[in-house]
Amino acid sequence: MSEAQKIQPVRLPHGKYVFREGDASDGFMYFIFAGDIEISKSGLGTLRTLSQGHFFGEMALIRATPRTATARVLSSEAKLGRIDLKTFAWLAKSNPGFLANLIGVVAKRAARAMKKVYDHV
Amino acid sequence: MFDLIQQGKALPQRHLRAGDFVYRAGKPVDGNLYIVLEGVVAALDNQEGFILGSELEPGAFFGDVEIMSESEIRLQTYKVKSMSATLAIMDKRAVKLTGELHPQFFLNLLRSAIDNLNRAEQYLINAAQKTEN
Repeated sequence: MSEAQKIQPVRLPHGKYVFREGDASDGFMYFIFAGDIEISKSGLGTLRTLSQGHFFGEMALIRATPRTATARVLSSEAKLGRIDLKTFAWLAKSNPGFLANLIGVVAKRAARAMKKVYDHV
Repeated sequence: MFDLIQQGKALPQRHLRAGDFVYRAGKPVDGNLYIVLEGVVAALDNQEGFILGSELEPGAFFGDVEIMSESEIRLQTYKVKSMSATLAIMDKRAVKLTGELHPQFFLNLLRSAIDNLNRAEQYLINAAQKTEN
């Protein structure tokens, strides 16, 4: 089995939680193949709504910490793929563009939050 | 084994003294990420005091979020905390090349982006709670 085949498909109905803030990490990050996922956090509300081609859950994979946000299916259903650290490491090593893209997206999220902090001050 | 200090020694350098600002939040981005080669650099809070625990020692890097997110302005202020500091200057092209050669570096950048995101969100949560109280 190739590493790419180790992307595990996950299909969830509307309203279902992929994970909740504070959950112990299951060691997976998720890619959205179809549907919409709402990412929210207590104290901040909805942070973003993600759709096809987006990813989430990378923090628990990289930092092995409890989930820092809640992910819930907004659309009628969602088709996701999830990968564990081993598959992530293989992707990172074999395809630096994958990591570069991931960094760009997370850095943009970080920059938006840091800008809000700067504007708040 | 990937060694950021060794990488940094081959890059252009900037020498600073105690109290010098590396850059200030709100100023235009110069397109560079900085690697600490010698000394200690730390982030400042809104009262221009050093943020406890933000000290960066040799081997650490900063300024990456603005570069990787293509931000037009700096989002944090950094100042030299030790008697002097030497920083290596890494532009975006060098960041990309280094990451392609050493995936560990890209992984460190990803961790840094995650940590910066968490810190900023936590600040905003605390600020919202203070407002409510």
